[in-house]
This record gives sequence, C-alpha cells and structure tokens, in this order.
Amino acid sequence: MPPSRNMQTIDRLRNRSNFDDLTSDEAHAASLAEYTEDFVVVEPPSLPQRGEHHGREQWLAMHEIMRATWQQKLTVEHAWDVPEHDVVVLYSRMDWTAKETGRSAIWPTVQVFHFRDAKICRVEIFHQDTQVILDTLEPREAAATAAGGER
Amino acid sequence: MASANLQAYEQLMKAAEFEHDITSDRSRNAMWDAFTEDYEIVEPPSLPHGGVYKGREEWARMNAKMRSLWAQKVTPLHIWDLPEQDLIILYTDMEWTAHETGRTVRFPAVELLHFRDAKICRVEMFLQDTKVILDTLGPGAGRP
Repeated sequence: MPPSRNMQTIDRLRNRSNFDDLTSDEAHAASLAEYTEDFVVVEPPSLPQRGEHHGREQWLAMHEIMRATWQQKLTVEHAWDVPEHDVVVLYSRMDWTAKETGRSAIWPTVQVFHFRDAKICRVEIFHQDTQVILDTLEPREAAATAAGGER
Repeated sequence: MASANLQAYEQLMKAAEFEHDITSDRSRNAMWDAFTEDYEIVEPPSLPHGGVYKGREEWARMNAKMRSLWAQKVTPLHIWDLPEQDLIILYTDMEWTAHETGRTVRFPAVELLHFRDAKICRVEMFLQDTKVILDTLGPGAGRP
C-alpha cells in the first residue's frame, strides 16, 4: 500500500529538515512548509519551552528558547501512520546537550502529529522523562550536592 | 472488524477498572492475564518505579510500588490500532494523586502496547511530564 498523504508529508519533512540541528534555519523552513497557518505545538509544562504555542510567531519564539538552551539532535526510529484518524506517530531518539553546562542526555520521544488536508495542524511532544532533560541544565556540582555526593 | 490485538485490549478494558484504579487487584489480575509471561515494561527512569521490568513478577512488584505512592486513574481518549506492526498506541488522560501529600495531577500520556499472538508483550510509557508527577510527592522524591 502506498504511503498516505500524511506520511508523504512526514517523509518530505524528514528529507528536507536537518535533524542534526532541530532549531536551525533549515529545520525551521522545512517544518513551516508542512504546517497549517494555525498549527499548535504542545510542549511539556516543566521545560523552559513549555506550553501551547499557536502559529508561526509563537513557535519560532519557543524555538529561540530551545536553541538558547540546548544543541538538539533527533533520529527517527519508527513512523506509524494512522490515516483514518489523520495522525502519524513518530518514535525518535533525542540527543540534547545543554549549552550552559555541557551536559548531554539521550532518550526516546514520541511525537504525535495531527493532520488537516495533509498538513500538520497539531504536534504533541512526549519525552520519556522531562526530569532527565532538566537535569542537563544543572551544573554537575549542584547535581552532586543534591544527590548527596560526587557523581 | 477489530483486529485480534484490539479485541484483546477491549477485553482487558472490560475486565479491569482503569478509569477508577489502575493498580487495584481487579486491574492487576486483568493485566496479568493479558500479558505474555516474558512481558516487559519500560517506565521513565526518574520516577520511583522507573526502569525496565522483565516478566510478570517484576511488573507486579513495580505495580505495588506505584500503588504505595499514588492513586492512579487512566481514561483512554484515542486507541490507534496498527495490526501490521502488532502495535496499539494509546493516547490517554491520566490522573494521579499522591497518598503522602494529597497532591493531584492530570496529564496526557502515550502508551505503546506491543503484541505477540494477541497478548501484550511490551509496553513503553510516555507520560507528558515526569517533573510534574515527581512534584506531587514533595521534596526529595524520585530515584534514590
């Protein structure tokens, strides 16, 4: 069976984007070409880029926060197409390095993409563990003190 | 027609009481029957019950750990069945209340349910925000 129109959109995004630098200009342009004008991105509430971001301007502002905080890479491992619900679910491996502390973490993430007319209208991000991500922002000395010893 | 995996999941939903109590005896027994013997579950590492659990016995111990900390409810909002991948993706609404502090949090979650012969053989949990969940436990909570 040929890929659905939604999956073709995801394939195009994967081909044109730069997943070695998620917040690069190249990645921005590739994403915006596949998003509806009123798209919404939902980020976990504890992260610096938290909340619902509506439309291009809010999304770019959110990306600026992420770009200032981490170097971000993503490797897609699975893409699951649910065309009857206008959904594609990506299972990816994230690799982020905090610019302030130099600390890195790698973890799996699920991204739920909702579609309208084969354009992405809503993205929800489910990282495996936001605490692990937040830990990268803590200097090693502070983390060791909080844990009660050296790491 | 519903796939064999979806039928198994629907049977599990009827037998359990996830919308009232995920870790009750009734829910636990229903899950035990729905899982393969070598069932594996992956929980976020920072949570007190974080890690990879192999086999139903290990899972039952993890389940008891969760029960000691929270009252947990889950309502499936979307069930995405992918029989060719032997996978069901659940999009759920969770509500957890910490016994110690009385703090409650509601959040969306994605559960990846992998199947073998219409039994669940692996689950991977993606809760929207583990930091928010840990905050319900009060200071010093989380992995030792």
